[in-house]
Amino acid sequence: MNNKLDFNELVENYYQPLYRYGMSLARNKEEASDLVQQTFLLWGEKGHQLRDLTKVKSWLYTTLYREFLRNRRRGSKFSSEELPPAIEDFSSTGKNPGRIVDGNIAIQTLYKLDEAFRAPLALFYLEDMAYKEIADVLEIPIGTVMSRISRAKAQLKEKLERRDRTKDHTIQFPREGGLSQNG
Amino acid sequence: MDNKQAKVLLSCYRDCGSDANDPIFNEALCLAKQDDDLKEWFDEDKKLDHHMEQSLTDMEAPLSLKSSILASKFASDEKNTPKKNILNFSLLAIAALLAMTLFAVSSFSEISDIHTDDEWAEVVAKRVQGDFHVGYRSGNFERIEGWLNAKNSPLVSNRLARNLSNTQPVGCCTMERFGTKVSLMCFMTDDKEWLHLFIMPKDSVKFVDSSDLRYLNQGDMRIARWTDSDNAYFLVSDANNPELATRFF
Repeated sequence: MNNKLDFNELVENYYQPLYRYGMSLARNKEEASDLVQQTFLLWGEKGHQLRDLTKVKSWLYTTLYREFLRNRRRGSKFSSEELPPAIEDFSSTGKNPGRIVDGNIAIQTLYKLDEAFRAPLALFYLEDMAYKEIADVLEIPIGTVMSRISRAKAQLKEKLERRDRTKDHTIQFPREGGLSQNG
Repeated sequence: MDNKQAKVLLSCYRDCGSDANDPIFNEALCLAKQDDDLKEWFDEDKKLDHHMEQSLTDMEAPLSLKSSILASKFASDEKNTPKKNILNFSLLAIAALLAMTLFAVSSFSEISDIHTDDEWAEVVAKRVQGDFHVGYRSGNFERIEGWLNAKNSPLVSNRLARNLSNTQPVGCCTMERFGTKVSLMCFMTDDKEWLHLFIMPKDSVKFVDSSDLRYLNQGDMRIARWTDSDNAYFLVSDANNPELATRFF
């Protein structure tokens, strides 16, 4: 373990966001938990090799992502993905034109994106990571990150709009104050 | 730069981060100020960002995850702690000799009949005292069972020691002894005490004492042995805390 970093503090600071990222990748609570646990175990074993302490965050996310890919290559022991309940299962809020998009629906829609798009977009949303950091974590070129984020957002919007058309709803993203209803 | 190129760039723009000073975005941002369609698209894009960020941040990790991570780290540290290196060489030589003897004895035993619970107790105690690899780490009991099941290793069939399921699981592995496949589940109590649960088919054990629950001592280890219709279970704990095994019954 790195001398200058307290393990408990590291866990305290990062286990929640890492879990969220694990969920975005695996879409399965159990696998997400295992990914986080494995990431911290690897930190315990190899974290001392990291000289630049400003890279801890990137190291953790990169490790989690690598573990995810390794699980996938091995053929995940998770027989079925905990696929999100059908989007339609999440109720919208009323019939007013200004109804909101439920947070669950937004997440479930994100989960439905291809993994290649989901991975950079989740980092973009979860950690306020700049495209350069995302490129570091995913170990792909900057141009690819930009292209994937852009396409991921386009897919996300399309899926939300398609859902909206199907349900005869109007999507309005909340203004300041988050998930409050508007009219 | 056309609108399409600008949209690709602006999709990745974070106004709260270092991007504001990144020249790569300058031209696209200027274009968004001049082009109403692009500006409207950009505003909507930022609203979507804000909403997605908020939705994802609301997601909470399971309550047990943090303690599970800390327990695993503790377990890992314990396994990796170097032993006292005084007389290391001599100890190594003795250990090698013992290992060879044990190997010879166990190889011979393979061909003998079913082994008594006393013999099994000796085996599981030695196993816990020595270094071993936890084949699968997880803080989730069901997942551990799933892993063992996939390896066709014995599982808790009917009777798990009371409260043991509430103790933090850490991982598991399988082993083979006396020609029998044995499951080992590792737990850690709130007091950071190890508990090791060995599970083997009931018919692979000859019971010296017919009582359902029996306590045995093996060196520093305290062992509780019980059975159900299918399996025999050996719960091993450190004798530094002699009440540990008994408190689960």
